[in-house]
Amino acid sequence: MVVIVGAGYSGLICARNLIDFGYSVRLFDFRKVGGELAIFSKIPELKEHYESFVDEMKSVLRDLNVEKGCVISTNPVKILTPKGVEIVEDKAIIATGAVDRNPWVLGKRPAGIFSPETAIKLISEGYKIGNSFLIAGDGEVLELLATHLSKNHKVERVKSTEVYVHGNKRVEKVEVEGEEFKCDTLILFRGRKTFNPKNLLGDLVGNAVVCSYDYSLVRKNVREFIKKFTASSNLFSRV
Amino acid sequence: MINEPIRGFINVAGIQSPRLTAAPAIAKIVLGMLSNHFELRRKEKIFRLPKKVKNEIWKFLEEDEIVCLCNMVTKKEILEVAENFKCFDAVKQITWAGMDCEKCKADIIRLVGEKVLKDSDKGEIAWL
Repeated sequence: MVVIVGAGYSGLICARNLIDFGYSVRLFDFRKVGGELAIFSKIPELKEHYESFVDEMKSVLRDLNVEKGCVISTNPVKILTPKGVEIVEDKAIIATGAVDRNPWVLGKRPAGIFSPETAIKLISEGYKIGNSFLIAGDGEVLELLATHLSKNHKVERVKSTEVYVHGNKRVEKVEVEGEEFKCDTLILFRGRKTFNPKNLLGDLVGNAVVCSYDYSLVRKNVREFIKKFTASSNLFSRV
Repeated sequence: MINEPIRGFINVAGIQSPRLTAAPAIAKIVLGMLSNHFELRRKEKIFRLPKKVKNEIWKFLEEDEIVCLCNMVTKKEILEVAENFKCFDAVKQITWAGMDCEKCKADIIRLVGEKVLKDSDKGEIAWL
């Protein structure tokens, strides 16, 4: 018996493959099924870019039971569900994904500074998060975001994250390596880290390991994990 | 770094003392400093969220959901603070949501927006 924590891309693919292989699997998510890709898909430029991964998720979702629950510890696995606290002795696979590192800056810290993750989530809900943007950092997702925003806003791009912010209540201008950019919103990418606030112990898989916006790496990690997991002696302890 | 007195700024940092033990006494001194400039009176009603027993949070999961996983803060708690204070910082300070990894930051902004903005003002969320 295996418990998979997180019903995002990695959790769903793992669940489908392990069930097909003969394992007894319980899949939990403390919020909505689909993880962050479901949110990215609401923005046209990102939807196009992540399409193959979303299609993969959709294809495994049929006949997959995702239970609502928040796993708060492992060994044994303790889950908070609407029906009560459950404790099971199963092995845990942690597919909780990644989160952007905090967009800390030098200088003042007025309103208008966002990590790409926060910006994408708000934009996907139809919110306008600013008038003129500076998008700082390196990554394909930042280019897609820039393309989307430049349809209706002024957008400037820099690769460097060595920023110095000026502004009182709201960002007014940003200094990057000697150059000055006038803007009222800064989207700053400082990389990603594992999202595992409960410090769950178990086999980490997917973006919880890769910590990226590049899902081809996530897909590679998930496939390698499934291969290794199903090939090992776990085979004899499956129920 | 600023090395001059600034009106309205009281520094209680870097005191090199047994922090928690000295805190109540320091608070009293600060109160004294403030009472030289303002008339101070005790607040009639202090806003408090109902005390949360950590593992009993499952009782609320049917109608509510956890928004901040780092600090186990639910949607209704955030909405209650947003209703009373109408600002993002208040949610952070009172519930501790958004204080750690900030994954829930967008959700908090959105929930505060629900209490502060009218439907047509989605653009104003940028200035919350």
